[in-house]
Amino acid sequence: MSKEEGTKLVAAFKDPSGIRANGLHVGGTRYITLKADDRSVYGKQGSNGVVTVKTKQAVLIGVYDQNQQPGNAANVVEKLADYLIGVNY
Amino acid sequence: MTNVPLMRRYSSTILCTSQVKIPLLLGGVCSRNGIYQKPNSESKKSPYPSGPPGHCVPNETMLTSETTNYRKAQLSLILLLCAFFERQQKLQTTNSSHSMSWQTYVDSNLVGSGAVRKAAIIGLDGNTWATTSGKYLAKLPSPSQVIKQNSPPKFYDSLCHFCHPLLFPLFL
Repeated sequence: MSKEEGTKLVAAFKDPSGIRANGLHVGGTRYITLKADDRSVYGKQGSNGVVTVKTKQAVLIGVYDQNQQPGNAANVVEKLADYLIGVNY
Repeated sequence: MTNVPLMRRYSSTILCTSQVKIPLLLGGVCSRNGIYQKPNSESKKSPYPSGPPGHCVPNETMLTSETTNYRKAQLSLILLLCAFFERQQKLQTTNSSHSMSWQTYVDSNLVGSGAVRKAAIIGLDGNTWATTSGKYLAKLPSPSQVIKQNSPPKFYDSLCHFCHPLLFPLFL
């Protein structure tokens, strides 16, 4: 996860037009944007995908592959995000 | 130039600058101090080029007030140094525990659940705090800091810890 990817991802929570047009780059892989709002951004590339959730001071990123359920991955990341938001992170 | 004037120049420079510098840093409490210097002929025709002849020799009347001022300046400088190094130590420990906890979230809460293959936590400035590979990219003590942490206590730390109570009465 390079700094450039990080800043673009953080900016996408405010304005998702960039990642909707060009895709979401995480760890050198380009994902198609499935969902983007001010809390979470989901991306998909083949049977792999990425779940990113913004908390107050950080962004959590989880990448799942073809052996894992997208729903489970989203659930885990969102839960941790809820916890961190709850403790003001 | 022979060796003897060179030595004399060095000693007078060290005496003058070391006495003058510390009070200047603290806002110019006093500029001169004659504790370690005797008003002899050598210092009167001092080869130190920038000052007027005999500028290191204070009047008898100036000596007492300037000396106490100088002592105060020295004391406050030492206290400042102690506070500074204690703060540095605290900062170091909090920083390292900070990145360790983020790594724990990545390793046990995200990847450890089995629902994601790779995970990362980044700050809102785009810096990576923790990733699956365990390579912290930011907020990590640099290798030199790690070496310092593993090495015996630093000179200043040990000086502050052991000499603080000893130095205190000396500088009053």
